[in-house]
Amino acid sequence: MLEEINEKIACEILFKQGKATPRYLLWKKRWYKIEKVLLRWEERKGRELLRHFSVTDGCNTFHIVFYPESLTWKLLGIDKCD
Amino acid sequence: MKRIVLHIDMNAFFASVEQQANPTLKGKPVIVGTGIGLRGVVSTSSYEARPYGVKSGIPLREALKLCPHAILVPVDPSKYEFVSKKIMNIFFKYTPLVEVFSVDEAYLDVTGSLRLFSSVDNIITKIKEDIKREFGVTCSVGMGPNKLLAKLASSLDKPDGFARIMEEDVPHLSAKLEVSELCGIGPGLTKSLGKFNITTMKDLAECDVEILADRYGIIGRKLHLMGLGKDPSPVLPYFHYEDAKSMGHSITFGEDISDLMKIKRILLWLSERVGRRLRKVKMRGKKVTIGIRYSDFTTISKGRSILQYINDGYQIYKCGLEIMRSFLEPERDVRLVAVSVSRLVKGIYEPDLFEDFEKRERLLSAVDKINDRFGEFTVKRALLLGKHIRKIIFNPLRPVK
Repeated sequence: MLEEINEKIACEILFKQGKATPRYLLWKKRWYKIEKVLLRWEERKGRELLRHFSVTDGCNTFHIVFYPESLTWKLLGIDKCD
Repeated sequence: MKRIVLHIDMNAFFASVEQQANPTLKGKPVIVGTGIGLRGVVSTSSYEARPYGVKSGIPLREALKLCPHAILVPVDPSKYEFVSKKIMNIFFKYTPLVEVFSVDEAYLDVTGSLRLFSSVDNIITKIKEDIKREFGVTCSVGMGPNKLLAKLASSLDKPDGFARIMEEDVPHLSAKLEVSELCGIGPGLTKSLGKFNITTMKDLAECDVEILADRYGIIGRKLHLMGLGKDPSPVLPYFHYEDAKSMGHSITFGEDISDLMKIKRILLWLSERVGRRLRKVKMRGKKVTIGIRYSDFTTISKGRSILQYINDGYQIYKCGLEIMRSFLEPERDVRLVAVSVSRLVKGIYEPDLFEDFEKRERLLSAVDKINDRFGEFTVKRALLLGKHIRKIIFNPLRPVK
Protein backbone atom coordinates (compact mmCIF):
# COMPACT_ATOMS: atom_id res chain seq x y z
CA MET A 1 0.00 0.00 0.00
CA LEU A 2 1.34 3.39 -0.98
CA GLU A 3 2.26 5.52 2.01
CA GLU A 4 1.62 9.25 1.45
CA ILE A 5 4.81 11.34 1.59
CA ASN A 6 4.33 14.57 -0.39
CA GLU A 7 7.92 15.86 -0.03
CA LYS A 8 10.21 17.67 -2.44
CA ILE A 9 12.97 15.51 -3.90
CA ALA A 10 15.77 15.80 -6.45
CA CYS A 11 15.82 13.70 -9.59
CA GLU A 12 18.39 12.84 -12.23
CA ILE A 13 16.79 12.48 -15.64
CA LEU A 14 17.82 10.85 -18.90
CA PHE A 15 16.42 12.61 -21.97
CA LYS A 16 16.38 10.16 -24.85
CA GLN A 17 14.30 9.87 -28.02
CA GLY A 18 11.84 12.49 -26.88
CA LYS A 19 11.26 10.81 -23.54
CA ALA A 20 12.32 11.95 -20.12
CA THR A 21 13.16 9.02 -17.88
CA PRO A 22 14.08 9.43 -14.21
CA ARG A 23 17.30 7.55 -13.39
CA TYR A 24 18.05 8.46 -9.77
CA LEU A 25 16.08 10.14 -7.02
CA LEU A 26 17.36 11.80 -3.87
CA TRP A 27 15.15 11.59 -0.82
CA LYS A 28 16.20 12.14 2.78
CA LYS A 29 19.87 12.41 1.78
CA ARG A 30 19.82 9.00 0.11
CA TRP A 31 20.11 8.30 -3.61
CA TYR A 32 17.89 5.59 -5.06
CA LYS A 33 18.79 4.13 -8.46
CA ILE A 34 15.65 3.75 -10.54
CA GLU A 35 15.64 0.33 -12.16
CA LYS A 36 12.37 0.62 -14.02
CA VAL A 37 9.62 3.07 -14.89
CA LEU A 38 6.46 1.10 -14.21
CA LEU A 39 3.95 3.62 -15.50
CA ARG A 40 3.95 7.21 -16.67
CA TRP A 41 0.95 9.49 -17.05
CA GLU A 42 0.01 13.13 -17.27
CA GLU A 43 -2.38 15.29 -15.30
CA ARG A 44 -3.54 18.77 -16.22
CA LYS A 45 -3.73 21.27 -13.36
CA GLY A 46 -4.73 24.59 -14.86
CA ARG A 47 -2.11 25.51 -17.44
CA GLU A 48 0.46 23.15 -15.95
CA LEU A 49 0.81 19.61 -17.27
CA LEU A 50 2.15 17.47 -14.43
CA ARG A 51 4.18 14.38 -15.32
CA HIS A 52 3.63 11.45 -13.00
CA PHE A 53 5.89 8.43 -12.81
CA SER A 54 5.56 5.22 -10.91
CA VAL A 55 9.11 3.88 -10.56
CA THR A 56 10.95 1.16 -8.71
CA ASP A 57 14.50 0.72 -7.47
CA GLY A 58 13.95 -3.02 -7.65
CA CYS A 59 12.56 -3.10 -4.14
CA ASN A 60 10.54 0.00 -3.25
CA THR A 61 7.87 1.57 -5.46
CA PHE A 62 7.83 5.38 -5.68
CA HIS A 63 5.17 7.69 -7.04
CA ILE A 64 6.95 10.85 -8.17
CA VAL A 65 5.70 13.90 -10.03
CA PHE A 66 7.37 16.64 -12.05
CA TYR A 67 6.06 20.23 -11.96
CA PRO A 68 7.24 21.86 -15.22
CA GLU A 69 6.44 25.47 -14.19
CA SER A 70 8.70 25.38 -11.14
CA LEU A 71 11.02 22.62 -12.46
CA THR A 72 10.57 20.71 -9.23
CA TRP A 73 9.98 17.10 -8.29
CA LYS A 74 7.91 15.68 -5.49
CA LEU A 75 7.70 12.25 -3.96
CA LEU A 76 3.97 11.74 -3.51
CA GLY A 77 4.06 8.24 -2.07
CA ILE A 78 6.17 5.17 -1.45
CA ASP A 79 5.47 1.49 -1.05
CA LYS A 80 8.41 0.20 1.00
CA CYS A 81 9.49 -3.35 0.42
CA ASP A 82 10.74 -3.96 3.95
CA MET B 1 -16.55 -8.28 -48.63
CA LYS B 2 -17.89 -9.21 -45.19
CA ARG B 3 -17.35 -6.72 -42.41
CA ILE B 4 -14.99 -7.68 -39.62
CA VAL B 5 -15.56 -5.82 -36.39
CA LEU B 6 -13.53 -6.27 -33.20
CA HIS B 7 -14.66 -5.31 -29.73
CA ILE B 8 -11.77 -4.83 -27.33
CA ASP B 9 -12.48 -4.72 -23.62
CA MET B 10 -9.72 -4.07 -21.08
CA ASN B 11 -9.89 -6.53 -18.22
CA ALA B 12 -10.49 -4.94 -14.81
CA PHE B 13 -8.99 -1.81 -16.34
CA PHE B 14 -8.60 0.55 -13.36
CA ALA B 15 -7.38 -2.24 -11.08
CA SER B 16 -4.92 -3.49 -13.74
CA VAL B 17 -3.49 0.01 -14.18
CA GLU B 18 -3.06 0.30 -10.41
CA GLN B 19 -1.34 -3.09 -10.32
CA GLN B 20 0.98 -1.94 -13.08
CA ALA B 21 1.78 1.29 -11.19
CA ASN B 22 2.44 -0.63 -7.99
CA PRO B 23 3.57 -4.23 -8.54
CA THR B 24 3.09 -5.11 -4.87
CA LEU B 25 -0.64 -5.14 -5.70
CA LYS B 26 -0.22 -7.81 -8.36
CA GLY B 27 -1.90 -11.11 -7.57
CA LYS B 28 -3.86 -9.51 -4.73
CA PRO B 29 -7.53 -8.57 -4.46
CA VAL B 30 -7.63 -4.87 -5.32
CA ILE B 31 -10.71 -2.68 -5.12
CA VAL B 32 -10.66 0.67 -6.86
CA GLY B 33 -13.17 2.80 -5.03
CA THR B 34 -14.88 6.01 -5.93
CA GLY B 35 -16.58 8.48 -3.58
CA ILE B 36 -15.71 9.54 -0.08
CA GLY B 37 -14.53 7.16 2.60
CA LEU B 38 -16.39 3.89 2.86
CA ARG B 39 -19.57 5.50 1.56
CA GLY B 40 -18.39 5.27 -2.01
CA VAL B 41 -18.87 2.45 -4.45
CA VAL B 42 -16.64 -0.09 -6.18
CA SER B 43 -15.49 1.32 -9.49
CA THR B 44 -13.55 -1.80 -10.51
CA SER B 45 -12.07 -4.77 -8.75
CA SER B 46 -9.20 -7.00 -9.79
CA TYR B 47 -9.95 -10.57 -10.85
CA GLU B 48 -8.54 -11.77 -7.52
CA ALA B 49 -11.41 -9.98 -5.70
CA ARG B 50 -14.22 -11.18 -7.96
CA PRO B 51 -14.59 -14.73 -6.62
CA TYR B 52 -15.63 -13.12 -3.31
CA GLY B 53 -18.57 -11.46 -5.04
CA VAL B 54 -17.02 -7.99 -5.34
CA LYS B 55 -18.67 -6.33 -8.34
CA SER B 56 -18.63 -2.85 -9.82
CA GLY B 57 -21.25 -0.55 -8.34
CA ILE B 58 -21.66 -2.18 -4.93
CA PRO B 59 -20.98 -0.03 -1.83
CA LEU B 60 -17.39 -0.19 -0.59
CA ARG B 61 -18.54 -1.17 2.89
CA GLU B 62 -20.30 -4.22 1.46
CA ALA B 63 -17.31 -5.05 -0.77
CA LEU B 64 -14.97 -5.06 2.23
CA LYS B 65 -17.34 -7.34 4.12
CA LEU B 66 -17.25 -9.78 1.22
CA CYS B 67 -13.49 -9.58 0.86
CA PRO B 68 -11.98 -8.18 4.09
CA HIS B 69 -8.38 -8.66 2.98
CA ALA B 70 -8.87 -6.63 -0.22
CA ILE B 71 -6.67 -3.59 -0.76
CA LEU B 72 -8.65 -0.42 -1.30
CA VAL B 73 -7.16 2.04 -3.76
CA PRO B 74 -8.68 5.48 -4.45
CA VAL B 75 -9.77 6.09 -8.00
CA ASP B 76 -7.29 8.22 -10.01
CA PRO B 77 -9.12 9.42 -13.16
CA SER B 78 -6.16 11.25 -14.73
CA LYS B 79 -4.10 8.06 -14.63
CA TYR B 80 -6.78 5.95 -16.35
CA GLU B 81 -7.65 8.63 -18.86
CA PHE B 82 -4.02 8.97 -19.92
CA VAL B 83 -3.47 5.20 -20.24
CA SER B 84 -6.81 4.84 -22.06
CA LYS B 85 -5.82 7.48 -24.63
CA LYS B 86 -2.48 5.76 -25.20
CA ILE B 87 -4.23 2.40 -25.69
CA MET B 88 -6.70 3.95 -28.16
CA ASN B 89 -3.67 5.30 -30.07
CA ILE B 90 -2.39 1.71 -30.36
CA PHE B 91 -5.69 0.77 -32.07
CA PHE B 92 -5.23 3.56 -34.61
CA LYS B 93 -2.03 1.82 -35.79
CA TYR B 94 -4.24 -0.95 -37.15
CA THR B 95 -7.30 0.91 -38.48
CA PRO B 96 -8.62 4.47 -38.62
CA LEU B 97 -12.12 3.16 -37.84
CA VAL B 98 -11.94 3.11 -34.05
CA GLU B 99 -15.03 3.90 -32.00
CA VAL B 100 -14.19 4.65 -28.38
CA PHE B 101 -17.12 3.11 -26.53
CA SER B 102 -15.92 3.91 -23.02
CA VAL B 103 -12.66 4.51 -21.16
CA ASP B 104 -11.80 0.80 -21.42
CA GLU B 105 -13.71 -0.42 -24.48
CA ALA B 106 -13.53 0.21 -28.21
CA TYR B 107 -14.86 -1.12 -31.49
CA LEU B 108 -12.48 -1.51 -34.44
CA ASP B 109 -13.60 -2.08 -38.01
CA VAL B 110 -10.61 -3.94 -39.48
CA THR B 111 -12.24 -4.97 -42.78
CA GLY B 112 -9.96 -2.69 -44.76
CA SER B 113 -6.81 -3.47 -42.77
CA LEU B 114 -6.52 -7.16 -43.66
CA ARG B 115 -4.37 -6.52 -46.73
CA LEU B 116 -1.81 -4.75 -44.59
CA PHE B 117 -1.74 -7.17 -41.69
CA SER B 118 -2.50 -10.47 -43.48
CA SER B 119 -5.05 -11.81 -40.97
CA VAL B 120 -7.36 -10.83 -38.14
CA ASP B 121 -5.51 -13.18 -35.80
CA ASN B 122 -2.31 -11.30 -36.58
CA ILE B 123 -3.95 -7.93 -35.76
CA ILE B 124 -5.40 -9.25 -32.50
CA THR B 125 -2.10 -10.81 -31.40
CA LYS B 126 -0.21 -7.59 -32.13
CA ILE B 127 -2.74 -5.41 -30.30
CA LYS B 128 -2.73 -7.67 -27.25
CA GLU B 129 1.09 -7.73 -27.21
CA ASP B 130 1.37 -3.94 -27.58
CA ILE B 131 -1.03 -3.24 -24.71
CA LYS B 132 0.51 -5.83 -22.42
CA ARG B 133 4.07 -4.65 -23.11
CA GLU B 134 3.32 -0.93 -22.71
CA PHE B 135 0.85 -0.97 -19.83
CA GLY B 136 0.76 -4.47 -18.36
CA VAL B 137 -2.98 -4.62 -19.05
CA THR B 138 -4.72 -7.61 -20.63
CA CYS B 139 -7.79 -7.41 -22.82
CA SER B 140 -10.55 -9.61 -24.15
CA VAL B 141 -11.26 -9.44 -27.84
CA GLY B 142 -14.49 -10.33 -29.56
CA MET B 143 -14.84 -10.65 -33.31
CA GLY B 144 -18.01 -10.54 -35.35
CA PRO B 145 -19.62 -9.22 -38.53
CA ASN B 146 -21.08 -6.29 -36.57
CA LYS B 147 -20.75 -4.45 -33.27
CA LEU B 148 -23.51 -6.41 -31.53
CA LEU B 149 -21.92 -9.84 -32.11
CA ALA B 150 -18.37 -8.56 -31.54
CA LYS B 151 -19.37 -7.18 -28.12
CA LEU B 152 -21.16 -10.40 -27.27
CA ALA B 153 -18.10 -12.42 -28.29
CA SER B 154 -15.71 -10.42 -26.12
CA SER B 155 -17.70 -11.35 -23.03
CA LEU B 156 -17.36 -15.09 -23.74
CA ASP B 157 -13.69 -15.49 -22.92
CA LYS B 158 -12.45 -13.36 -20.01
CA PRO B 159 -9.83 -12.41 -19.00
CA ASP B 160 -7.25 -12.12 -21.79
CA GLY B 161 -9.29 -14.16 -24.25
CA PHE B 162 -10.49 -14.13 -27.81
CA ALA B 163 -13.79 -15.38 -29.18
CA ARG B 164 -15.66 -14.97 -32.43
CA ILE B 165 -19.35 -15.10 -33.24
CA MET B 166 -20.20 -15.10 -36.93
CA GLU B 167 -23.69 -14.92 -38.47
CA GLU B 168 -23.82 -18.70 -38.92
CA ASP B 169 -23.29 -19.18 -35.15
CA VAL B 170 -26.35 -17.13 -34.22
CA PRO B 171 -29.02 -19.90 -34.60
CA HIS B 172 -27.08 -22.18 -32.19
CA LEU B 173 -26.39 -19.42 -29.67
CA SER B 174 -29.63 -17.49 -29.70
CA ALA B 175 -31.68 -20.04 -27.75
CA LYS B 176 -29.16 -19.96 -24.90
CA LEU B 177 -28.44 -16.25 -24.81
CA GLU B 178 -30.63 -14.16 -22.57
CA VAL B 179 -31.74 -10.76 -23.86
CA SER B 180 -30.01 -9.03 -20.95
CA GLU B 181 -26.67 -10.12 -22.41
CA LEU B 182 -27.21 -8.02 -25.52
CA CYS B 183 -25.64 -4.57 -25.49
CA GLY B 184 -28.38 -1.95 -25.20
CA ILE B 185 -30.88 -4.07 -23.30
CA GLY B 186 -30.80 -2.98 -19.68
CA PRO B 187 -32.68 -4.26 -16.62
CA GLY B 188 -35.81 -2.16 -17.38
CA LEU B 189 -36.18 -3.39 -20.94
CA THR B 190 -35.37 -6.97 -19.89
CA LYS B 191 -38.19 -6.82 -17.37
CA SER B 192 -40.55 -5.30 -19.89
CA LEU B 193 -39.71 -7.95 -22.53
CA GLY B 194 -40.10 -10.65 -19.88
CA LYS B 195 -43.75 -9.64 -19.46
CA PHE B 196 -44.28 -10.76 -23.05
CA ASN B 197 -42.35 -14.01 -22.47
CA ILE B 198 -39.35 -12.76 -24.43
CA THR B 199 -36.35 -13.90 -22.44
CA THR B 200 -33.85 -15.14 -25.02
CA MET B 201 -32.34 -13.78 -28.20
CA LYS B 202 -34.29 -16.46 -30.10
CA ASP B 203 -37.57 -15.22 -28.58
CA LEU B 204 -36.75 -11.75 -29.87
CA ALA B 205 -36.03 -13.08 -33.36
CA GLU B 206 -39.25 -15.08 -33.46
CA CYS B 207 -41.46 -12.28 -32.20
CA ASP B 208 -43.28 -10.47 -34.99
CA VAL B 209 -41.46 -7.25 -35.83
CA GLU B 210 -44.73 -5.32 -36.10
CA ILE B 211 -45.73 -6.36 -32.57
CA LEU B 212 -42.35 -5.18 -31.24
CA ALA B 213 -42.63 -1.93 -33.22
CA ASP B 214 -46.11 -1.41 -31.87
CA ARG B 215 -44.91 -1.85 -28.28
CA TYR B 216 -41.54 -0.10 -28.42
CA GLY B 217 -41.67 2.12 -31.52
CA ILE B 218 -38.44 2.44 -33.49
CA ILE B 219 -36.56 0.55 -30.75
CA GLY B 220 -38.85 -2.46 -31.42
CA ARG B 221 -37.53 -2.82 -34.97
CA LYS B 222 -33.98 -2.58 -33.67
CA LEU B 223 -34.74 -5.23 -31.05
CA HIS B 224 -35.97 -7.61 -33.75
CA LEU B 225 -32.73 -7.15 -35.69
CA MET B 226 -30.78 -7.78 -32.48
CA GLY B 227 -32.62 -11.06 -32.08
CA LEU B 228 -31.42 -12.05 -35.54
CA GLY B 229 -27.85 -11.05 -34.64
CA LYS B 230 -27.92 -8.11 -37.03
CA ASP B 231 -26.62 -4.62 -36.32
CA PRO B 232 -26.24 -2.25 -39.26
CA SER B 233 -24.71 0.58 -37.17
CA PRO B 234 -21.24 1.61 -38.38
CA VAL B 235 -18.09 1.84 -36.29
CA LEU B 236 -18.01 5.60 -35.76
CA PRO B 237 -14.55 7.13 -35.41
CA TYR B 238 -14.15 10.13 -33.14
CA PHE B 239 -14.45 12.68 -35.95
CA HIS B 240 -18.05 11.55 -36.50
CA TYR B 241 -19.12 11.76 -32.88
CA GLU B 242 -22.32 13.57 -32.08
CA ASP B 243 -22.22 16.40 -29.58
CA ALA B 244 -23.21 15.58 -26.00
CA LYS B 245 -26.94 15.69 -25.27
CA SER B 246 -26.53 16.54 -21.60
CA MET B 247 -23.81 17.34 -19.08
CA GLY B 248 -23.92 16.78 -15.37
CA HIS B 249 -22.09 16.16 -12.13
CA SER B 250 -23.02 14.48 -8.87
CA ILE B 251 -21.43 13.96 -5.48
CA THR B 252 -21.97 11.48 -2.64
CA PHE B 253 -21.14 13.14 0.69
CA GLY B 254 -18.78 11.75 3.30
CA GLU B 255 -21.65 11.92 5.79
CA ASP B 256 -25.36 12.55 5.32
CA ILE B 257 -26.31 16.23 5.33
CA SER B 258 -29.57 17.94 6.29
CA ASP B 259 -28.24 21.51 6.62
CA LEU B 260 -29.81 23.42 3.72
CA MET B 261 -26.93 25.90 3.56
CA LYS B 262 -24.43 23.10 3.03
CA ILE B 263 -26.62 21.53 0.35
CA LYS B 264 -26.90 24.90 -1.40
CA ARG B 265 -23.14 25.28 -1.44
CA ILE B 266 -22.72 21.82 -2.92
CA LEU B 267 -25.36 22.66 -5.51
CA LEU B 268 -23.43 25.79 -6.47
CA TRP B 269 -20.15 23.88 -6.66
CA LEU B 270 -21.69 21.26 -8.96
CA SER B 271 -23.45 23.92 -11.06
CA GLU B 272 -20.20 25.84 -11.54
CA ARG B 273 -18.50 22.64 -12.71
CA VAL B 274 -21.28 21.93 -15.20
CA GLY B 275 -21.19 25.53 -16.45
CA ARG B 276 -17.45 25.39 -16.92
CA ARG B 277 -17.67 22.18 -18.95
CA LEU B 278 -20.40 23.67 -21.13
CA ARG B 279 -18.34 26.78 -21.81
CA LYS B 280 -15.27 24.72 -22.67
CA VAL B 281 -17.15 23.14 -25.59
CA LYS B 282 -19.07 26.37 -26.36
CA MET B 283 -22.46 24.87 -25.55
CA ARG B 284 -25.53 26.09 -23.72
CA GLY B 285 -28.53 24.24 -22.36
CA LYS B 286 -32.20 24.93 -21.84
CA LYS B 287 -33.19 22.37 -19.21
CA VAL B 288 -31.82 21.97 -15.68
CA THR B 289 -32.35 18.74 -13.75
CA ILE B 290 -31.65 18.20 -10.06
CA GLY B 291 -31.29 14.81 -8.41
CA ILE B 292 -31.38 14.16 -4.66
CA ARG B 293 -30.72 10.84 -2.94
CA TYR B 294 -31.78 10.61 0.69
CA SER B 295 -29.99 8.51 3.30
CA ASP B 296 -32.48 5.64 2.76
CA PHE B 297 -31.45 5.59 -0.94
CA THR B 298 -34.76 7.05 -2.14
CA THR B 299 -33.83 9.06 -5.20
CA ILE B 300 -35.85 11.94 -6.64
CA SER B 301 -35.02 13.75 -9.83
CA LYS B 302 -36.82 16.75 -11.30
CA GLY B 303 -36.10 18.92 -14.31
CA ARG B 304 -37.35 22.22 -15.62
CA SER B 305 -37.05 23.91 -18.98
CA ILE B 306 -36.05 27.54 -18.95
CA LEU B 307 -36.57 30.38 -21.41
CA GLN B 308 -32.95 30.99 -22.28
CA TYR B 309 -29.98 28.87 -23.24
CA ILE B 310 -27.46 29.14 -20.41
CA ASN B 311 -23.94 28.03 -19.51
CA ASP B 312 -23.24 30.23 -16.48
CA GLY B 313 -22.81 28.13 -13.34
CA TYR B 314 -24.61 30.70 -11.20
CA GLN B 315 -27.66 30.74 -13.48
CA ILE B 316 -27.71 26.92 -13.42
CA TYR B 317 -27.50 27.13 -9.63
CA LYS B 318 -30.36 29.63 -9.33
CA CYS B 319 -32.59 27.50 -11.51
CA GLY B 320 -31.49 24.30 -9.72
CA LEU B 321 -32.21 25.86 -6.34
CA GLU B 322 -35.80 26.66 -7.34
CA ILE B 323 -36.28 23.09 -8.53
CA MET B 324 -34.72 21.66 -5.39
CA ARG B 325 -36.87 23.81 -3.10
CA SER B 326 -39.99 22.44 -4.84
CA PHE B 327 -39.36 18.89 -3.65
CA LEU B 328 -36.61 18.78 -1.00
CA GLU B 329 -37.87 17.50 2.34
CA PRO B 330 -35.86 19.57 4.85
CA GLU B 331 -36.05 17.12 7.72
CA ARG B 332 -34.50 14.27 5.72
CA ASP B 333 -30.78 13.58 5.47
CA VAL B 334 -29.31 13.88 2.00
CA ARG B 335 -26.68 11.49 0.70
CA LEU B 336 -26.17 12.64 -2.89
CA VAL B 337 -26.83 15.71 -5.00
CA ALA B 338 -26.73 15.77 -8.81
CA VAL B 339 -27.04 18.59 -11.33
CA SER B 340 -27.36 18.26 -15.08
CA VAL B 341 -28.12 20.50 -18.02
CA SER B 342 -29.75 19.13 -21.16
CA ARG B 343 -31.34 20.28 -24.45
CA LEU B 344 -27.89 21.46 -25.43
CA VAL B 345 -27.00 23.50 -28.48
CA LYS B 346 -23.65 24.63 -29.73
CA GLY B 347 -22.53 28.20 -30.29
CA ILE B 348 -25.86 29.93 -29.74
CA TYR B 349 -25.59 33.55 -28.58
CA GLU B 350 -28.77 34.82 -27.01
CA PRO B 351 -28.41 38.22 -25.34
CA ASP B 352 -30.73 38.90 -22.44
CA LEU B 353 -32.68 42.10 -23.02
CA PHE B 354 -33.21 42.76 -19.32
CA GLU B 355 -29.82 41.90 -17.84
CA ASP B 356 -26.29 43.02 -18.55
CA PHE B 357 -25.48 40.01 -20.68
CA GLU B 358 -22.25 41.39 -22.10
CA LYS B 359 -20.85 42.18 -18.68
CA ARG B 360 -21.62 38.67 -17.39
CA GLU B 361 -20.05 37.09 -20.47
CA ARG B 362 -16.89 39.16 -20.02
CA LEU B 363 -16.71 38.24 -16.35
CA LEU B 364 -17.12 34.52 -17.09
CA SER B 365 -14.50 34.70 -19.80
CA ALA B 366 -12.02 36.39 -17.42
CA VAL B 367 -12.67 33.87 -14.64
CA ASP B 368 -12.28 30.98 -17.11
CA LYS B 369 -8.93 32.35 -18.28
CA ILE B 370 -7.63 32.53 -14.71
CA ASN B 371 -8.87 29.05 -13.87
CA ASP B 372 -7.44 27.65 -17.11
CA ARG B 373 -4.08 28.95 -16.08
CA PHE B 374 -4.00 28.26 -12.36
CA GLY B 375 -6.42 25.37 -11.93
CA GLU B 376 -10.12 24.87 -11.27
CA PHE B 377 -11.77 27.09 -8.62
CA THR B 378 -8.75 29.38 -8.26
CA VAL B 379 -11.34 32.16 -8.60
CA LYS B 380 -14.71 31.17 -7.19
CA ARG B 381 -17.85 32.61 -5.66
CA ALA B 382 -17.59 33.58 -2.00
CA LEU B 383 -20.16 30.95 -1.07
CA LEU B 384 -17.58 28.31 -2.01
CA LEU B 385 -14.88 29.68 0.29
CA GLY B 386 -13.96 28.20 3.63
CA LYS B 387 -12.74 25.01 5.21
CA HIS B 388 -16.21 23.66 5.58
CA ILE B 389 -16.89 23.29 1.89
CA ARG B 390 -13.43 21.84 1.30
CA LYS B 391 -14.11 19.23 3.95
CA ILE B 392 -17.31 18.14 2.26
CA ILE B 393 -16.06 18.23 -1.30
CA PHE B 394 -12.36 17.70 -1.44
CA ASN B 395 -11.93 15.02 1.18
CA PRO B 396 -10.32 12.23 -0.84
CA LEU B 397 -10.91 8.55 -0.39
CA ARG B 398 -8.67 7.49 2.45
CA PRO B 399 -7.14 4.05 2.61
CA VAL B 400 -8.79 1.78 5.13
CA LYS B 401 -6.59 0.77 8.02
